[in-house]
Amino acid sequence: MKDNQARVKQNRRNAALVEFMLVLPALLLYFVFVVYPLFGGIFYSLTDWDGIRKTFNFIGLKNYIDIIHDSYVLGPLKNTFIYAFFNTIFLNILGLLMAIGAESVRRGRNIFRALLYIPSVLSAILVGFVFNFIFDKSLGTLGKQLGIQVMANNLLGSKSFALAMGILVTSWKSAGWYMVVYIAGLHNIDQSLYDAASVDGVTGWKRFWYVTFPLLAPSFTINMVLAVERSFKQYDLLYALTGGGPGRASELISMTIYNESFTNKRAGYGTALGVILFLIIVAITLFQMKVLRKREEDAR
Amino acid sequence: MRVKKNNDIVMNKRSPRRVVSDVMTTLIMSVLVLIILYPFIVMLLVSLKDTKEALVSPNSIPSKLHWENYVKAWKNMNYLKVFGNTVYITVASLAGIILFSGICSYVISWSKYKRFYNGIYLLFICGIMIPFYTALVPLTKLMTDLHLNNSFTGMIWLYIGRNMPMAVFLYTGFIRSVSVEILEAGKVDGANIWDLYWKIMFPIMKPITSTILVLDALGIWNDYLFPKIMLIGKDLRTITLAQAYFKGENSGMMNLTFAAYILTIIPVILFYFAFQKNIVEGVAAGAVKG
Repeated sequence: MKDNQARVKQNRRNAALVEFMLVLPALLLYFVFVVYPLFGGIFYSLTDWDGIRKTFNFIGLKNYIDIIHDSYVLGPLKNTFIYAFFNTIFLNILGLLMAIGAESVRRGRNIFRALLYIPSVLSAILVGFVFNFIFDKSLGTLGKQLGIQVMANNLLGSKSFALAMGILVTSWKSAGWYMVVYIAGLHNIDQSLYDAASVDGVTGWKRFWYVTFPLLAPSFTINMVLAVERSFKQYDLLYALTGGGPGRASELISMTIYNESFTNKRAGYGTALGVILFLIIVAITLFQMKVLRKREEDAR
Repeated sequence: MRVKKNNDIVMNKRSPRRVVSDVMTTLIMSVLVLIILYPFIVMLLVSLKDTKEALVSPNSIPSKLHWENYVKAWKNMNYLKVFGNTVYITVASLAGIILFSGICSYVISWSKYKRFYNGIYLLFICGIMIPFYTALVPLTKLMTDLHLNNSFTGMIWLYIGRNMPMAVFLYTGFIRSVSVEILEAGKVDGANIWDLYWKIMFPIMKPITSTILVLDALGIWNDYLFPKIMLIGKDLRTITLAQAYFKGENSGMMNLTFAAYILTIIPVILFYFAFQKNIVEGVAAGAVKG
């Protein structure tokens, strides 16, 4: 009897062990490639490590204090905020308009949707390089023919236009992605609500504003959050399009982090910037979630 | 009521206002499609010109079609090698992601030790938002220390590891919605946890597996920054690296460069049209759950 109980206990322990062994690989990979580098990042951000030498000194929060006064860093940080702000607006407005357009087209709905989504499957680096040529040569030539001087001189070479063009190219590449999420949201809206609205004589713009848009709240939340997060993480597209130039007029914080960490051999400083970027993203996301989730509940 | 509604529709169809708005929508959407297609058209036109014409008149129809540009581009970028490298990294990473995150989520969702595994689940979720840039320096050092830099094996392990949080999140969300009875039936048969997972659970998980595959496939295939830091040497190039280096290595000849770009986007476009339904559904499903 006692023997039996012990065996049951043993079996149970074995089963628990097997379960844990099945979780272990995923957990281990996660710790090695996500958790450890995060804490490593926080650790190095407190040092003056150059990224190569074996030795480094602890300098406490000096990197963080320096960043606050460093105009070399604050410029790109400001660019990143501008970039994220306009991206979020453009991508959501365009995505929503494209979704409504693609849904209300009478014929070829699927073809329109399929074509508008294509840029989303391309690599950002390719899109950047192609548009670099388009602004320089294709639109440049067109600008000369039309006599538009700014355009003929290459819009990417102008300090006041380069970042704005980066935002437009981002819209070209990504609006289709946001459209797909909005289309899914539109499909989730109960048709009977539209019927009820049309019985009440609510149509057109009013119907959109009082029926469609409030019911799209979940898609809206997702798209707002993701647009901000992705803009703050963007590197490839602007790197290929402008390289951060002219001067550093379109440099984003991700490029500064890369350059500081590797090119300028200030790994500690670059990593401190990375930590700040992380905190900014978390803060904005949490704030958005709070505001937008509340809006979702109000809509219900 | 019903009759009235049908009448509405019939009347709407006939009303000139409705026709005008239909035409307008189609027109606006067509303009948007043209804007989307414009860079592709420029790429195609330029890729078929000779070097001089490509620079002097980028917008015109090529005076003579130089198909040989594609042959040169294919050779200069070592296309098959680059394509093979990228396929290898992407497919191996995806297999690892599905293998490890699937069974892990299964245990998280169904284990008797609820509190323990819920803690582990929350631990995974915390990892979703961590940007790559915070980890840039320590990751590079880690890969060098493990002698995983400059190797595909290293890239694959890294992609698997970094995609764990999202995959576990999506899988767990899905498995928790599956009814208990299905598994209880299997348990009665005395199947062990491994068989239970692969024979009963894994087939049920197909929709969410395809979502994860689609999302991660494009992400890994199009990743540029990590290969740029990790893979040095021409033999190890991925498609994005080839795209980035081609122009510089071919003395800026845009006709060859665009021929190379078109060659590199053909597989992605084919993949897109083959799995369009899964991709579009996957993006929507992944986003809604994320």
